[in-house]
Amino acid sequence: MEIIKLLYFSLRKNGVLQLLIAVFTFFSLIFLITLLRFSRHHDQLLNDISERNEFFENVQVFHLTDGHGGFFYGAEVHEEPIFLQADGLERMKEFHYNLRLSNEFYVASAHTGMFLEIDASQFLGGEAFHFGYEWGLTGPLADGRGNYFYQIKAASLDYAAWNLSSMEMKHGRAFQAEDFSLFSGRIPIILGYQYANYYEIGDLITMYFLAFQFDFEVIGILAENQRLFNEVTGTYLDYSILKPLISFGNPLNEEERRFQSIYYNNKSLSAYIFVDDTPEAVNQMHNIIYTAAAHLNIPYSFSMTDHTFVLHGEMVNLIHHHTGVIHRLLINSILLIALIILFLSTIKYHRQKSVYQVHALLGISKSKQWLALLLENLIFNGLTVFIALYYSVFYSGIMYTSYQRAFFSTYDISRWPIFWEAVIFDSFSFYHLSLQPALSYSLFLLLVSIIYPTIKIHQLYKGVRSK
Amino acid sequence: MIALKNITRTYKVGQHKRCVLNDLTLEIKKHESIVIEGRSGSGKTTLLNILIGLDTAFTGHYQFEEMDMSHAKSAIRAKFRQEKLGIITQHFDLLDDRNVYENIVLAIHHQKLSAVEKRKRISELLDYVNLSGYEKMPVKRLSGGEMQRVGIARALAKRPKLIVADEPTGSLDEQTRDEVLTVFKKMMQDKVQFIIVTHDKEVSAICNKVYRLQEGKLKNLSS
Ligand SMILES: Nc1ncnc2c1ncn2[C@@H]1O[C@H](COP(=O)(O)OP(=O)(O)OP(=O)(O)O)[C@@H](O)[C@H]1O
Ligand SMILES: [Mg+2]
Repeated sequence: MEIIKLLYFSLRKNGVLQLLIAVFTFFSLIFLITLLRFSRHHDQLLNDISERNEFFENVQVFHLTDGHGGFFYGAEVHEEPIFLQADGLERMKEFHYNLRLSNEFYVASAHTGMFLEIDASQFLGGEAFHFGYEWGLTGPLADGRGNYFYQIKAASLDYAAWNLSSMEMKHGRAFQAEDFSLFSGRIPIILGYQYANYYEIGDLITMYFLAFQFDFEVIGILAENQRLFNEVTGTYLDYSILKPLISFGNPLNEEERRFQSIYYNNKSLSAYIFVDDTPEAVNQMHNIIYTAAAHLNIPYSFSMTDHTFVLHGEMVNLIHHHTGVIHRLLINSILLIALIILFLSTIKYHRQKSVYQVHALLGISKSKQWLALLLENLIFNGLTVFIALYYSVFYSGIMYTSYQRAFFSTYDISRWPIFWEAVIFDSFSFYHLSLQPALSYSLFLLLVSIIYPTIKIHQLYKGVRSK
Repeated sequence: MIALKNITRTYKVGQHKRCVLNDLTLEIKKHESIVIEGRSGSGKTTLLNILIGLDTAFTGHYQFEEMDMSHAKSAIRAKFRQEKLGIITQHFDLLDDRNVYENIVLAIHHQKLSAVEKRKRISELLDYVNLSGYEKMPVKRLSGGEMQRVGIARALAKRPKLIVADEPTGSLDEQTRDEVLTVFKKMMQDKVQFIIVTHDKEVSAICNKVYRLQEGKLKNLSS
């Protein structure tokens, strides 16, 4: 009862309400500024994206495959894979050449389902660079002759795909047309962002590709979150090596021949075909490819792809970017607020000091005073913690909404802020991003709430009144 | 009975040691009120801080009735202040964000009195210090003499065993001092036991037992 009275008067005197309003206003201000920044930035980037992707606007996209569902797994038993047939390679090369000759459509090859192999003792990066890391395939593989290899994530692409992907570099140079021309001893590669810690421009890395050893030369390192035009998730390339689909001359032996067959098969039959969105153009494209394939006896099949994947991918990147900005902002503002709270607590204590002295004179015990101060701090800090949590949930809502917009191309402002859906939406959980700083802040204030009264009450009794 | 025996209190300022109370002995009988005179800096407040159980960094023995105050724990000393002492200070030590009633009632939080009883007691006390009807008055608006009389009312509210006053007129001018002295004279007649510490001769005059604090020791001036 006594403590409650102490608390009541202290809260009344200190104008806790005003302080809280100040804190809340501060939070809201930062929030508003962020929101403004966010939406302006968003619109601007959105503009950039649609400008950059004009190419994709009035096209249909087809994905060309071999019809087997892959060379390594599903080749039909009664039919020999093309790379085992006598003139398979020549036919593949020709088909590949014809495909890119046409003015009626645009062909770009890019795929991420390949890997490079490297001597385990030579590889500098960590497990996240290993092919299949996401589904638990790590650790070296033995070749049976005492050598151990890592399979490293790699993406192959041709120049057309490189141009469509419009990637940004962190260091070094981008691919140029020459990088895709005839093989001349070294294959230039560009490394994903995370490789920046391990390799430098000009480094030579010896790796195996389809069991053939090559020297790869690092010519550049990608900026963060870069992606191939056909990839929706932005982070893939961060841990990946980007390898050009170069051309090879005539094979010198049977082994090379086999390598090139598989290679060209990949190059041609993992292609995306962009064609004008008219029935005539699509028909003509079908005819051209059918004729070429039939003539050369190439097994193939089409699948139509939704070209909006390009936009989706860019949007995901955009949101990655926003998430980063918001996260930094959240941490900074919460840090600032923690400092303000600490400062306010000190002022509050100094204003109250004479009151504590009177309490001491009146014989209100140290522990009661401590408890009253503790409760007061807990209430005060607890309320700001509540604000911080609310604030972070709000941000989470914004990030979630952005993803919604990215994936479903819907952007319903009236759905802001949708907090509770964000909890359910667990494939991209932003809570860890926005809640982390808020929770650390809460913990910090909790500690302050306990330590502060302890120190202050102790100090109060240490210097006995002398006036 | 209050007994201080061989009390020594030294302050340490940096490397310096300063002995403010030096082997001081004092005995106060039941119902006996006293005045302690002393120059500024002679150690009056130091002595009072020991008496009210706020300062325990002394050597010697302090007995308050049955209680051994030299070895009592902080919580016990707080309880002792809360229940047995009325403390009046030079600067009043009122809470200026509250009114007169709230200031006085703070001293009797711990007593099991109904709200009506508390109101009645405080109203009587305000009559006693000649501030009838001042309950709702914010303390900020009072004059110095009025503030000190509220301080006295607050000290008396719990019906303490002993009133301890540190320079109760130290911050007052002559006229307001007389207002306060009138109250002390009244307390004298009503046999309220008190210890006043002062350097003001006028204050010493109200009491027939007077000590002088000098060179860390007490000298009885009245015998
Ligand atoms: N906490 C302290 N630390 C160090 N020295 C102190 C402390 N408190 C008091 N003193 C010193 O002890 C001496 C006595 O102080 P005290 O306050 O007891 O004097 P006083 O008689 O009450 O003086 P006044 O009439 O000015 O109130 C003074 O010289 C003072 O400077
Ligand atoms: Mg003094």
